[in-house]
Amino acid sequence: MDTHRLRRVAANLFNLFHLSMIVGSLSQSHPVGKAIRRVTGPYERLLGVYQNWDMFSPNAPRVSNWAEMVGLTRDGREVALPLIIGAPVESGFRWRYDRLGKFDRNVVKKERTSLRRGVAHGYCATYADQGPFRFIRVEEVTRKTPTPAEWLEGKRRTDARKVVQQVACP
Amino acid sequence: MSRLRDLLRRATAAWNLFWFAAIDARTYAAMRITLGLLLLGNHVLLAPELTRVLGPQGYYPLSVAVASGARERWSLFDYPTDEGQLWLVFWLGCLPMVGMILGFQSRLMTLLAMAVEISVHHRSPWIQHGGDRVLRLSTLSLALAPSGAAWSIDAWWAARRRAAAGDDAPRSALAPIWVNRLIQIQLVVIYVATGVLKEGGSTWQNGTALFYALSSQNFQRAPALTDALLDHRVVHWLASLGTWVTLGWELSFGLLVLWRPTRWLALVLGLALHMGIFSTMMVGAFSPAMVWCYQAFFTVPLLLWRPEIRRAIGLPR
Repeated sequence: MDTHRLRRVAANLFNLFHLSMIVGSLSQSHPVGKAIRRVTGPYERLLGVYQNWDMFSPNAPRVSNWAEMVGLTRDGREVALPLIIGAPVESGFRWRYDRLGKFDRNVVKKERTSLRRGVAHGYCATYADQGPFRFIRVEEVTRKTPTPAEWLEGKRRTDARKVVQQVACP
Repeated sequence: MSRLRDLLRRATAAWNLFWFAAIDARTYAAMRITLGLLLLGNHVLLAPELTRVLGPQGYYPLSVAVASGARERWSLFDYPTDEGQLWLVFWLGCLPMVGMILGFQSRLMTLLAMAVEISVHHRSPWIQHGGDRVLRLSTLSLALAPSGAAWSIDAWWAARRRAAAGDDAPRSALAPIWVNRLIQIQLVVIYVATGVLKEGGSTWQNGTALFYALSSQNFQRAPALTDALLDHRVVHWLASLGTWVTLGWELSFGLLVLWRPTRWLALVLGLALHMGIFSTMMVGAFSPAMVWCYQAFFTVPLLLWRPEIRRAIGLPR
């Protein structure tokens, strides 16, 4: 087999594999997608090329949110700890994407329990001099956007707070 | 039987034409240079937050990343044990991107740039945006193309060696189109997939999605200005119109771009949409990375009747 033909066969094989990865990743909740991902999953995960394109879907977010950390000491004191990024700025021009902002939003996502545990353990160690802490409480502050009609009537965003997780310090 | 054989032969020829027609290698060269610039910009912009997002003592310590149990994780940023080493790895990570821009050892540099991107991703997946993923997919594709065949130190060096050997004949560098096709397919998949996911959402149906996206303080680029604009009813009408146009355009992108007469419409609308997103919202490198992929639609397969071209890409004579 000459080199050109060999290259073409290799390209065909790669294309089929890569396109299978796309199909498997897009249909991962379907039995066929699951079967494909058993083969293409390691490739997808290693290269970080998973096909998750849910930007602003199924709906655009109606809230802005961020995490707040509170340390609970053994004697019952509550200490507000430095924020990862805090409330979004309300003026000026943001010229650079805040990676920490993305991290912060992941910290308060419901399903990210192990991420929160890791971050909270980091807080236990970093701010031990202000405690020592028995727990770190992760709170989510959500700033709800009014509906377009309410906005035009002059109503503005309102804040709400909830505890997402309380993590025991090691 | 002979009809079946004929059908198979035609199908194979169509397949080969689709994947292996020749294009001007300068297409890949332009992609290499622009992607190198994009990757470099995206990487350097990590610097102000580097120690906090990737550092051994950052918000996501290495021990937590390793304990996350993620399979197939590997990162160059796992090795630094102090901030000095972290900065060294970070700045060394710029070199392959510079190599891509200059076209020095183009394929190797593109692969190394991919390794740097993967390293950032695996060290802290929680700081990644959609644009990072588009850039990884684009880099992977481009690493498979002969992107150093033109406008590069590689090409200049090869021409010098040929001249030294007495071969001064001018050559036009050709490359098979298949990498270009992969980028085209990926672009269509992204738009159509996101369109399908949005299609059932109430805010996309009632035309308020763009209002909510623009008013989310997590994403606003110029918060006070955007809020002031949203005080005007006409901006709400435009936002509703923009919501429906975006949804319709995403869902139909595959068809619009496939048909040559509507291709310009699909790409111009996309360019306008991404310029709008980039100027008003903080969504990382997503818009530039997507617009980068548009280059894949500006290539024209070279005419295939020339025997040397058919030979060069392995098609039957």
